[in-house]
Amino acid sequence: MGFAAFAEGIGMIASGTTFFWLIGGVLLGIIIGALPGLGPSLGMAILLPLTAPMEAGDAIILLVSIYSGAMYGGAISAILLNAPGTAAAAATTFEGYPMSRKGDALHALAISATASATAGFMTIIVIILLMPVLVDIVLAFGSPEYFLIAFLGLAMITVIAKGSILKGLTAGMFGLMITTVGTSPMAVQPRYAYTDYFDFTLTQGIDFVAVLIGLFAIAEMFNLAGEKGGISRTGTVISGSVIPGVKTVFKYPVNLVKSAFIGLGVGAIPGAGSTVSTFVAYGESLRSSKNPEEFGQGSERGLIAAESSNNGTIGGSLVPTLSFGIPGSAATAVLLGGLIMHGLNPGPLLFSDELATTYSLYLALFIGNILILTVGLLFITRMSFITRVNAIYIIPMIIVFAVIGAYAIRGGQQVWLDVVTVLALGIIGYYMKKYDYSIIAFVLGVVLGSIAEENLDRSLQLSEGSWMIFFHPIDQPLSFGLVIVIILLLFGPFVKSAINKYRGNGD
Amino acid sequence: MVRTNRRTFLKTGVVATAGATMMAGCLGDDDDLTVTVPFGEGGGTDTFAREVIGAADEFYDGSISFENEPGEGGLVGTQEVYNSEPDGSRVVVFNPPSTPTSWLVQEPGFDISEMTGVSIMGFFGYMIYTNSDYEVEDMDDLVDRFEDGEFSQIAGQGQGTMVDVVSRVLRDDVGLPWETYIAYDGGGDVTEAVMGDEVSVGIGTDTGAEAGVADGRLDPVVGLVSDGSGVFPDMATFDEQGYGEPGDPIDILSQLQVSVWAPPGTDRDDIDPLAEAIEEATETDEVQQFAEDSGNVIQYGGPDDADALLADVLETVPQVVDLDEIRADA
Amino acid sequence: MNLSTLKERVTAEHALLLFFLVVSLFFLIESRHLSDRAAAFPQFTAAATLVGTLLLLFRSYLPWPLTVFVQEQEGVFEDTVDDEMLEEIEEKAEQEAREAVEEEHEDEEGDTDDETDDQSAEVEVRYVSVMGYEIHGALFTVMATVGFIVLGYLVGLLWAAPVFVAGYLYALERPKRDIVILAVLSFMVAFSFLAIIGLDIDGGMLFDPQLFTVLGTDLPMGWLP
Repeated sequence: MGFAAFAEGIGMIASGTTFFWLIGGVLLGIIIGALPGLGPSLGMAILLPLTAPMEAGDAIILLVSIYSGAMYGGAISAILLNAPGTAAAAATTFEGYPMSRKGDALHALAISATASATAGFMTIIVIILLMPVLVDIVLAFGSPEYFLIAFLGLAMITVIAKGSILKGLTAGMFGLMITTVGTSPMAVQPRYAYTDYFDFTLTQGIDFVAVLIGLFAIAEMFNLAGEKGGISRTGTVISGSVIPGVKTVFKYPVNLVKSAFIGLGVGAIPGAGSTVSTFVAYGESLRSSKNPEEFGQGSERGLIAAESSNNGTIGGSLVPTLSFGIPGSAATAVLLGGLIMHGLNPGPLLFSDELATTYSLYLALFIGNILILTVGLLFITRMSFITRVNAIYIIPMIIVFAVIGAYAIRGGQQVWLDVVTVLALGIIGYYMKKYDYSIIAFVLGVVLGSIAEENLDRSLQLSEGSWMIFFHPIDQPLSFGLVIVIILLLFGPFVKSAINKYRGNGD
Repeated sequence: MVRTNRRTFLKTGVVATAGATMMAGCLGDDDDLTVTVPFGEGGGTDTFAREVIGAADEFYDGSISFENEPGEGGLVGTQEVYNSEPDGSRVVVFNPPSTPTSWLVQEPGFDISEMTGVSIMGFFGYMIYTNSDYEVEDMDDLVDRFEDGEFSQIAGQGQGTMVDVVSRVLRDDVGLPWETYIAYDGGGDVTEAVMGDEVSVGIGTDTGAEAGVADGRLDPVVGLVSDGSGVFPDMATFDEQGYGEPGDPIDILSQLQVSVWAPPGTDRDDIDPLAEAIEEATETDEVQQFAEDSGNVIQYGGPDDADALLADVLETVPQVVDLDEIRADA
Repeated sequence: MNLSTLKERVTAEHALLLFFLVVSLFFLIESRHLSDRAAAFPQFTAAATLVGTLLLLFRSYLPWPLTVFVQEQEGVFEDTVDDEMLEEIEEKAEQEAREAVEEEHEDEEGDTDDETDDQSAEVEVRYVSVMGYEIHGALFTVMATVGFIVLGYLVGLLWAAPVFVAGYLYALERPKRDIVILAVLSFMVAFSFLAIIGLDIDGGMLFDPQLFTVLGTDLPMGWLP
């Protein structure tokens, strides 16, 4: 069945208008993703109603292309302005922005486009080959595993956080704490929402995109305002070539492949997956690096890990969405809405009768990556000039973007809440950065809080209060494995250095 | 091919499209209508509303745009429309008994019973499904297994939501003796949990279970709406299996009636044109095709039917469910 | 303790920690209204934040065994490499890459390595003079942003944006031409949000001209003042 469907899939893409929608979708996605406050989910939501009169195949390829373009586009503002549009792009700021500050924005953008597209090519091919098996793997994950994946992300704090571990943990806990504002995920009970005073305003909680914009973009603008010059702190005129960036990516083949598939694998896990994947890949890259001290200072390895896992996540997150209609993120939820709206019900049919459509979807992603590579290397890299403009001009413009973007995030009653969140987190982020409190830890806390809480609660409900649901090696082999990974991650380094010292060959 | 029609004025959440907005402005007059969907984009209610009211646009004088205002089981968006001007320019789509039940549980500061009914567009129903490894045959078999202790848990969407209420009625009224209700975020998460055998039995909509059943990982056990299911026409309903009569509380509570509501005090003259447009829309080929594809049931009801439905639900729910118990469990 | 040394010792970091302290205490105290299941997670995280904050606040007075946790440590993971063979290959590549980069930026060598976070050493602090007062650039920007948001709340962000941008650049003594260009640009940015995604930013609490209702954007956000 496979090959004929595959050929049909190619046919669907090659037909006139479809190809046009694909290109338009990717380009539009890149623009939307690059604007702070707008992300893939909002971008697709804007377009969703407009696709109503389109043919189903065209419409879905348009949406998927926007998704893929916007996930890449997020890297552009993350690198140039420290303003990630999605949680996944936050990992990109860790290395991409420091590179911009060093005057290497062009290099960073070239790496980002190359790593992103290359990872996309690899993961999509693997997905097309493994499609039927992946569905079973996805189903093997349940609430205890989701909790442990979120916990794994939190455990990354000890790896990623620079400076004192206590500062990192405190920042992470503070992040987790503020996610408890709003309606409790297990109960119909508002927490810290004070509905008597604020109506329903706070019941939806504090939006993590607003937190991201505040912590990264606004905090950085406050920081820049306190110093003279541009974002790039070197006066050097950067050479116009993108070739070194392309080459760099392939100098770390292990890092590239590993990160891409961490993105794919973790991204395919519904619930926590698509949010945690880039952090896990980034953390793993840091952990296995011989020069961990370079991380956070503009490490090429770190940037490659963040960007390749980000793109790998796209293919992965589509697996549960298409196979069972379980969206792992806001973006895939909107995509799912688009599928249903056009009469394509997710389910096994998409992998048998409708296999051609599914293939065409992944092929669209594949071709979209060629476009990302081309546009990314030829045009986007030129935007690095922004980092050399006097920051005085950039600061008010970015604040305007960020504030209005915040106003746009959720709409409804939360508009001013989101605006105030952006400002407050901007100020907090400014001081946290100044005194070396890990912003990454804080972000991880905010992003993972409700996932961790909800799945922990549900797991304990499932096991009637027994914690063995996380440890039982026979009943819960997957959980057990994850626990081992987390323990290794948390204590491995200390044990290893202790052993080395004992043997007398430690440095 | 791309064909432009006024349906392209649909708005999603906070967003509309540039072209659409501009055009809406040019054509704008007093009959312009904003439809608030108090649930997320792409969900069951959202898709349903956009399809049917979208088709009604053709028979409606002004232009129709959509916005999503999710939160608190539909109460956030509903309250917003409740507070808006009763001039026929805004309506909200929710599904009694679902949102009215959330209102009864949460007791927010507005009176949902004052909402003015516009029309009922159709319904979708709840059902019970099980993981196919257990080969549960029917409701009798399922009840036996709960009594034997083979099963003790049942999965459904969110604590304090409609599914939670339905599960309590199943236990207290119908006689399905589950012990723990495991709450998940969305309907998709529930089917996933049952397919992965995290919980062996789940309650959800028939449309949500379709993929899992087609794949052979889920078995449909019983339909909870006496009218039957559009997705699984062969599935025996609770009354057919001897667990009650049509019109029982479980029947009323399991049938989510997708319906349109205007702010309190909206004049009948401002409502009728929309109700008539919706009625015409339900008869179009496009909507019928949608019903067939999606398994949703299209069934029109006018303003009076809608008013009667809401009154009925608000009266029935407190009688059959212990609202204090739900609040206390939360 | 001498008062002036105390004053020197109290930094903005203490304010940050105090903020953490107050917020976590608030979360802890207010959680008493919640049911057990809903309260467990907020209580745990608030308590953990509280403990962490207290340790950090009083770190100079901690007894010896506890100081281990608050030390700034780096390079904990230095000797943790596993896949040594592969790593060696990459290490080599890294070396080459570094060399390549260094070649590219010959004239800025030494700047690229490890001092990037240490900004005070090399970056001049910007001060803004407003009505005779010298204000730190960051503080000025925070105040201007607050002003922008308040103005936006009162008259709509669409109108507040160009005022904010122009005012900001004026305070920083930019040429008039630049001020005009950027103010217009910011208005266009704001307007595109209004026109493209129908954002309701053309009016606020005080002033709601509904100028653009012709664009069909009257309250598309559903936000009612």
